[in-house]
Amino acid sequence: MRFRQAYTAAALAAFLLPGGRAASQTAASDTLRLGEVRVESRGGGRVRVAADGTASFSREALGAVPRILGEADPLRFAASMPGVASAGDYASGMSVDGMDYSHNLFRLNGIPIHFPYHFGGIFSVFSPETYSSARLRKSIKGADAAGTLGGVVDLASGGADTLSATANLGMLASSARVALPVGGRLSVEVSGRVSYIDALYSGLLRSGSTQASYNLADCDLVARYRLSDRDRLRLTAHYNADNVEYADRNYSLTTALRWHNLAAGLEWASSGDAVEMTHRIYLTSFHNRLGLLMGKVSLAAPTAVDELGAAGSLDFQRLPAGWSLAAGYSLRSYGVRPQYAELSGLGQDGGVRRGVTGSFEASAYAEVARSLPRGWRVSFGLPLNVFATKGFARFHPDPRLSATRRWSRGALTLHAGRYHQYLHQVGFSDLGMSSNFKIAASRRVPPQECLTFAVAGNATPLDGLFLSADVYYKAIRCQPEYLGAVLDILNAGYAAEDYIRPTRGHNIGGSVSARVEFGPVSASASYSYCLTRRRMPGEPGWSPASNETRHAFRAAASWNVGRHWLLNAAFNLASGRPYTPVTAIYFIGEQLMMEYGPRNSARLPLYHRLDLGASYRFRTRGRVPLRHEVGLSVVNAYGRANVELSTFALDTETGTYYRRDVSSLYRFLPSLSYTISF
Amino acid sequence: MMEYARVLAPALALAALASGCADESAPPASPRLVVEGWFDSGSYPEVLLNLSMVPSQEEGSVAESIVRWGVVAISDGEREVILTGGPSEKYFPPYHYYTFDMLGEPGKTYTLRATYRGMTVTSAVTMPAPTPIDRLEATPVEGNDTLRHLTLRFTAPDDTPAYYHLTARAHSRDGREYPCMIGAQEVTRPGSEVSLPVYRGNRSTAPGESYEADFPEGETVTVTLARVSREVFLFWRAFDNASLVNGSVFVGAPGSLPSNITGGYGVWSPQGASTATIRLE
Repeated sequence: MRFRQAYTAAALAAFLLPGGRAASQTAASDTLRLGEVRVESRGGGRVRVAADGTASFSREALGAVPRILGEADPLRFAASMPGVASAGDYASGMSVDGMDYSHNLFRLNGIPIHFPYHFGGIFSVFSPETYSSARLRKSIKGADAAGTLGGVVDLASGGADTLSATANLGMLASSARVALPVGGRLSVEVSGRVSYIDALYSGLLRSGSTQASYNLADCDLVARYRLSDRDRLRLTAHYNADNVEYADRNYSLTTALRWHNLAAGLEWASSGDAVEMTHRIYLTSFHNRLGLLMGKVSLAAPTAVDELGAAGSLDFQRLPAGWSLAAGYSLRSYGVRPQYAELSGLGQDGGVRRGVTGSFEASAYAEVARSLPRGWRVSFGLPLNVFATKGFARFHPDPRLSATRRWSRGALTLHAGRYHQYLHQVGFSDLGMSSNFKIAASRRVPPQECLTFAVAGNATPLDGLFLSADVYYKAIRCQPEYLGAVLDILNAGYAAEDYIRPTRGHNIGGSVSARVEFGPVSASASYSYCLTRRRMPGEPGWSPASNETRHAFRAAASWNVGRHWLLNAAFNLASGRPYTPVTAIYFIGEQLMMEYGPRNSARLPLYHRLDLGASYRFRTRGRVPLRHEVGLSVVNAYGRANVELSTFALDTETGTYYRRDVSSLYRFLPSLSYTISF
Repeated sequence: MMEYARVLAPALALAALASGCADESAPPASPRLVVEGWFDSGSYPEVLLNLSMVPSQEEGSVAESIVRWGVVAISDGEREVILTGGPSEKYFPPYHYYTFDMLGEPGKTYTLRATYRGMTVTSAVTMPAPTPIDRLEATPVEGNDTLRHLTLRFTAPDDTPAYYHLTARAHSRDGREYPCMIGAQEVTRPGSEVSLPVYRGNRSTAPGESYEADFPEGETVTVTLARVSREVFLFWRAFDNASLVNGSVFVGAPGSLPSNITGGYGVWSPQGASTATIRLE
């Protein structure tokens, strides 16, 4: 790869080295102008794992694993990284190094998206065509990562220097993207996806007395405008909506779940000799409405979070040799409407309407790094966080210290840091459904805190062989646990805070992974271990977090066969997720009632699944040369009945009770997709 | 690389050590007495006394839960009566304890004590005054010619909060009144008119029966509006919740039911009862 244009070493490092910003800080020991240079990347092809455990991957990486229902999804792919786990096939979220789903921060071109999943986590709302590169930061995060305890997933759009278009037809949905340069300064990229589940599968969604319907849509717009050689503007807009309805004639009950994200932001990036900086303003909102209609009884539980924010970062270039300095800020003003009930037709109509609670969160940080002899580099960052809401304010300095040692074929990072999170998410579902609602920190639901100690590293002992490993210990305070039941929202004077308990605990774990890339073959294997412990006030003992995956082994391989065929496979073997076991059953009103044991004190059976995929790629010539890809994939190829729920039921004919395991519907699920692009 | 390994190895060892320090296991359970007892004002007490089943195996027999030789006593503070046990096909499991020797009076505190195989459970509840039913109405169900929807109306008492529980019996198919679905209600505004939908209870013991929340045309239905204590209301609210979400993959386990039975499971409910019967034309 040859570069004739002058770049700073820091900018080059940020672009080429894995880990993005963190990597740029560790590499930016000198600032100089380059002439013609030859840069060779040993970073590891489609997926790169930096010395701090940060994983970066591009749209091309998604092609190396089987698609799910015809969709290539960046968050599904991120969830396959070492140390990242999802609690079963229906989870709308991912646990990063044992943290809760609600601890993750997802951003599109820097704009937070509060709930980035379609129903049941089937796939995310992110278009891999528009947002073509992704970065996952796990336990080790720089001072710029404020307001979150868990993983940070950043998706960024690529360039649109030439006219290009892509259309994808899948089993559930189809999508299209067009990138269009307008003149020399402006480029516009538009994409959209719409489902036709109701139209094609209405028969499958009808069963006996039940009828389900589901539709989803998402769309994106990214426009870039080059103000000058040094200054660029980027406008990003995103909208997605889901609409689920489930009607049971026997119960005369219709359940409806609707949610949407709406986000827009404008970013200015400036690259000067003295400082490189980015500033962004944005608006992002997530609204969810759970509705129950039963005859004349109508119940709705709306929740919402609307956020107006600004963020920026500055990288100072004119520093003495061996030093680097970065600074930044984020300002977040959000209005949160926690869960409450709107009720009619049942008792005395009404419900306690919740107003919007306004909160303000600000963070300013500086991070300085210094190169030391023998390949060491030490960085110290200090975010200063301020949070304020009605009658409650907190100030938290969160110091973070990292030391990285580099060798010719590897690097190792040691990290200690403190993190705070002020926007919580709780609810009925252990699987992270959209009905889990946001609630801002307050005196009754205090800010969450995490002390993190982590070691991560990577190595390339041989060309084409990439190793990475990490271990971590996290001490967690004030993680909110919601204890309310569905009908509790009908209680007079219901307030969500009454049902939230602050939990403390810790996570211990680590992962190792190896990846080989030799010619047309690419293969990877990883093992992750995670032990979580949580305890509520008054609880006698520790219990595992509901999203804990104690052991996880994953292997994936892809093989380019000739010019046209790509074969791939992914295998996942993991401990079953914890659940609260039934310790006694009895009859009340001739219904089987259950007594439960200690929280999360049992574990579902082992989870394993093999996904297979094959795609045929070809080109056609004509006025417009086209690229085609026909993909076939099979999810859970050998039909393993992975258990999602274990409960008890009654057989009235024999007078016996029996264990009833409800297994995932993802059993031998074939799908077909067709992609055309130019 | 050696330095890399030197740093990482102790950390991995520490993690492995920590993992061996703690693991979870559910404590062994043993059967406990289960009470489902009600005592309507102006009527006689009935108690279903059973044993809980401990699901240590993949499956087990319901027969093991029947308590045939228990002793159930109820005291009103002045005298105590021993209930008679006997089989009855009206209930499941098919056994109940009853007496015609004590009539329920609002304001009195009734203490239940049940004993079986060395296990004793107790509960004491003060019976609230009943609230009269204003109307029990039937309306057609939209889109269905053969079903009728029932609505019960009453006026909230002055001494709120008041807690209610609905039970209903379809005479042609039910041997007893069953708890209505979403039948536990809290009323907070005194003097206001309250309307409650009456939904049939869904039973685990109705083999092959397709559940319908509304009642069929031609049926005779008796509905009881029971004013209950707060503890009894909390039990039935939790029961409603468990009935709705038990077995749902997407909603977490509903949790154990609260109970006002000391030493056991279930509920003891001396209650102020008002009853209405309607023929669904």
